Amino acid sequence: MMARIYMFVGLMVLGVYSWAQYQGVGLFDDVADSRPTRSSGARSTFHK
Amino acid sequence: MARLARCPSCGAPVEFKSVASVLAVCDYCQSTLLQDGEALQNLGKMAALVEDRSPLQRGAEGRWRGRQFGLIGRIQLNWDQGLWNEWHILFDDMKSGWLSEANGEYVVSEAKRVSEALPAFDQLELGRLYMIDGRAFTLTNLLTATCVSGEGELPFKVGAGYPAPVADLRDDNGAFATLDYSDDPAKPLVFIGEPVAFKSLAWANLRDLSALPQPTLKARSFACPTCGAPLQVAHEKIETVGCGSCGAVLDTRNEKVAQIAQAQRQLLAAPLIALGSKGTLQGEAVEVIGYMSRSTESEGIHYYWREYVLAAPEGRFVWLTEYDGHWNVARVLSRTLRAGAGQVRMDGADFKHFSSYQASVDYVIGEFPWRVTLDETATIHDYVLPPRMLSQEVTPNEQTWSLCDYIEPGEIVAAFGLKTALPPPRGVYANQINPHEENHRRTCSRFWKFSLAATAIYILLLIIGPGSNLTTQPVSYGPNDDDEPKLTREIPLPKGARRLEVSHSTNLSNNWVGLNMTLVNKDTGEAWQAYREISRYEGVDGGESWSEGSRDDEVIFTDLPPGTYVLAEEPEMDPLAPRVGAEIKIATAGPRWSSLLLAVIFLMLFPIWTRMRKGGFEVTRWAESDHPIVTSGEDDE
Repeated sequence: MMARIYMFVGLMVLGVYSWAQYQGVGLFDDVADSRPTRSSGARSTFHK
Repeated sequence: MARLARCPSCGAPVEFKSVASVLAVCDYCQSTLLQDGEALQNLGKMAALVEDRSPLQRGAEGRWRGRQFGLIGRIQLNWDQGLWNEWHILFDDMKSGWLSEANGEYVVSEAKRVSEALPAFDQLELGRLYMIDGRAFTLTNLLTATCVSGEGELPFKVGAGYPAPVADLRDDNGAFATLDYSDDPAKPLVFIGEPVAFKSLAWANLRDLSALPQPTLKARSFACPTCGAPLQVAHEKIETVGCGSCGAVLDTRNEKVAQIAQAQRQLLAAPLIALGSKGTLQGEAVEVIGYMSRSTESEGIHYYWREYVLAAPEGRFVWLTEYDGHWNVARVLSRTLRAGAGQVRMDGADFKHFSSYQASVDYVIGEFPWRVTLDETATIHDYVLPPRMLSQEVTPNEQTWSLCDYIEPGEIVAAFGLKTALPPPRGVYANQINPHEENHRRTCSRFWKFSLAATAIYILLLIIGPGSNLTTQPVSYGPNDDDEPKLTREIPLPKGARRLEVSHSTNLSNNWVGLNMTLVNKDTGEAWQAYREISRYEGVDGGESWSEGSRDDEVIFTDLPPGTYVLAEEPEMDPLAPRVGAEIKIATAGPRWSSLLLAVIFLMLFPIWTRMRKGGFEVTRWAESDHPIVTSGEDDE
């Protein structure tokens, strides 16, 4: 029974893992603030 | 070349087929005739043989190791545990040998001259190793038998009542040796051979047992001399009968039944399989003929178990043992094994020592092919390799090894067609299969497959995945740089990518730099902020080098919409710090080793759990042994 549950859970883990690896998500990543800002200064400096 | 002579008593022809034969018993008048040169000396009448329903007879022929042989004589011997036959055999190369027939075991042996000096009979030690003919044999049986009778040709002089001190030895390859001290208690005759399966000898001219008048042994009924209960002996080679009514142990070798012991304890449990039950156990037709209750004492507590004697084909016997609902099928091995360092090896497999204890017989019911004693204790050493167990039983005169196979109660019910189920097993038995073993093995197997797949996915995405370098750009930071941010080249974010990894590799030394980073989407004007401080300090203190921090740094910008990006950096530094060189690398994020690690750790939880369950079962198993597994918690106590 445990082996069957493990088969099911293991396949799910592999699926999630594959998606995360494709996305480049890492456990120890230092991540920048994901909320963007829209400042007029930034726009005037970089926006064409 | 056979020699024909005339019996000096009755004139009947007497044939000496073997040149080694010096004695013959006349078939007609049972005179014992000793060759004395050309003459025959009559030593008197030979006692009658005891009918033992042996399938062998003089004139029977067989084949052993490619050599044809015939049975030309027999000595019938008696000892504490019963009767046995030594058949004198003549091979087709005119050499003679012996076929021993005892309790369903057959051993072929030949006389051997050996160079080793062997000890006198009274100096032999049971269980000790002796070198014989260059091989190491263990002494397994030490006895003084008495000759009952003889027939046919024999190579030495025998007569009823002759004592025969003999020692049986076995090696761990199945070889057998007998030291016969009948002629000289200081210098034995040596016979070396091997146990053989009866059918393997390709017999011809065997005795027709069905032609015998239904003998006294067949369903011989009698009343228990102690309590009068009706009893019977219905099988061959039965030495003892236990009375189920009063616990008397009766010697049934003679027509006059004699009591030899009386059970001192009550019968605690009736047999779960009735005596007389017939069935097919592990492919073998068997019948339950005897039942005994045995016990051992440890720290004032008595532990009881039950043993059933099963009659099997060809005069063999099989044992069924039961303790707390756990059953084993036991068969006596024809060879000995050498125990050492807490284990014993058989056929390349190591059995671990489980426990040693003194066992006594408390009660017997039914028929037994050996002389049961209630007052004698045996030392038992159990070695386990589930589902098998090797059990060494040592008495003052004998040591035997039995191989036990754990069997589920359901198999017993099916084998004997029992109408009621047997009690379920309680606790964990020495050689019970660990029910978590297979589960753990399968879980481990799957763990390795999953881990391999996760690693393969990681490598595959490293090679062909979305992670790719978008730009690498050198840069330098100085305390006196102008206030304008340092800009990278424009970076088009590839379709489908939503994460950018910004890495810095610097040449910092005992210095730091703070970086205010702004990643700007040039198409929308949206900006993502990050602050990173990179520092690296190093030196030598007390002769030992040290370092702190890292010259390199990575940060990930997530959830980025498609577009073209520019990274702006505004450094902060110590005003007196030297200029710092660096390389900025911007890439779409690829597979991470940390994700691989996390997946493997998660997948490992299951094997760890099954390993704990398997280990818990083993702790319970070995708690009953002489070598309990001590856990750290118990250790602390």
